[in-house]
Amino acid sequence: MADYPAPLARLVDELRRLPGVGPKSAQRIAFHLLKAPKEEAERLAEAVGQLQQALRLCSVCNAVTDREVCATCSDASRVDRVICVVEEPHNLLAVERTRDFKGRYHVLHGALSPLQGIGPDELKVQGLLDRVRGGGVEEVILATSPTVEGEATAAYLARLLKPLAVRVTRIAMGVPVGSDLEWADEVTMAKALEGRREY
Amino acid sequence: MPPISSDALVLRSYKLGETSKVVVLLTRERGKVRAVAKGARGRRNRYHSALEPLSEVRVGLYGRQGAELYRLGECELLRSAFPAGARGLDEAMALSYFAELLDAFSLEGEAEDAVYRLALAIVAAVEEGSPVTALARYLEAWLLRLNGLYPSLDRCASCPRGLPAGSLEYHAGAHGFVCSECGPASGPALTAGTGSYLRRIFGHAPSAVGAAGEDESASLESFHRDLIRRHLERDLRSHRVLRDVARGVRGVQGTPQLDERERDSLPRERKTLP
Ligand SMILES: [Zn+2]
Ligand SMILES: [Zn+2]
Repeated sequence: MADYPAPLARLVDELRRLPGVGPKSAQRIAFHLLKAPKEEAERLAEAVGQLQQALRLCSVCNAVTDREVCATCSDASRVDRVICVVEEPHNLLAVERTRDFKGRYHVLHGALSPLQGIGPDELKVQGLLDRVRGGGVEEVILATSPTVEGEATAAYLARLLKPLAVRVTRIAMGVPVGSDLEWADEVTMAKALEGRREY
Repeated sequence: MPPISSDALVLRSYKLGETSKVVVLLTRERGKVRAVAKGARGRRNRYHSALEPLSEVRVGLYGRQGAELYRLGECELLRSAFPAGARGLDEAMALSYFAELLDAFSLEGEAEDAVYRLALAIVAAVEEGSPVTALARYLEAWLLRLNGLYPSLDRCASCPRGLPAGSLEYHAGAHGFVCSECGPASGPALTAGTGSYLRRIFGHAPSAVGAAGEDESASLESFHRDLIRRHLERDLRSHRVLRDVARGVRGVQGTPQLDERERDSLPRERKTLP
């Protein structure tokens, strides 16, 4: 990027860090913004700036939201007695797409990963236990990924949850092992939920 | 150019871009190698569970011999160390630890048949249901020994005398167990029972060793950990995670279990979602 003026080179560099953006696309986007009306570039800059400032984690389920309590947690039409536990915020969307699940969620923000040094303290586990201890929860569905890490996380949570007098279930492994739930389609996910088994 | 074909154990993998992974393999023929697995992520993950830790696979690797990064072609799953739902928390944790341990002790591009066979035997023993704590001590002891880091159980480390029967006295200055003449040893001391358990480890297949007593296992764990830390000049990441998981599980064991009546009053089966 030695030939570009510094501000342009900097933008190209930043864009290249984004997932799915290669050097060519980064250049294309940068030049597009250069030529675009000033307001368009400013709107984008503002949206990016707002993203981290305005978004936060739901104080109940840890989903990404712009309020104290997210839309799902404050939706009175959903039932409190079932909590579906997922690893990442986008996994929640995979379950939502099935339109079959009307309970609540809990986002762990990761999975146990000894190889990456991610232990229970790095995950949002305590909040889940507190919610179950708070009463009214009859079933916790463990919808972590069907990987060694996801299985380990489910097994760990099951050990902590079972003494709390709650039914603990695991989504069915019709989802191939080693796959990321991020990529599971609605049908696969719906089947996984429906076929869930007592842990 | 035809691919290099080899049997291998998957040590770990990490994400590369949107659709690929870099996989670290312990191959039988070429020791530890890294390879890019294109299409290992995403909707059409062509490798399925083959890239999970300690899967035994047969791979085709593209790239020049001794390349820093190969490209992974075929990857046939011969045996999964972790079939879905078939193993519990302890096994999952142990497998990750074993993979990290093997990774840390293996050098890239240097085939070590003994290490490869050791790793296979350990995975097989997990499958046969051998206690994973015992397998952890076994793997540590043998990896240390194969790297020339395990002190002799028979000879004093600082004089030609044999070691007396009974406890083993470790002396840090001598990097080994010392006789009473060469003492006093800095410690730790391993009991006679721990010593004979170690001899069982060095004389038997992993599935034949059996579990150690609680005290023996604990003292071996910390002894091995010190040796490993000194060799690697760092702690393994999984050590802390395993400790925290064990602590979390212990934390709930104090909570009273449900009695049968309470358990029966819970909803049994609910196939339809709320
Ligand atoms: Zn929420
Ligand atoms: Zn001596």
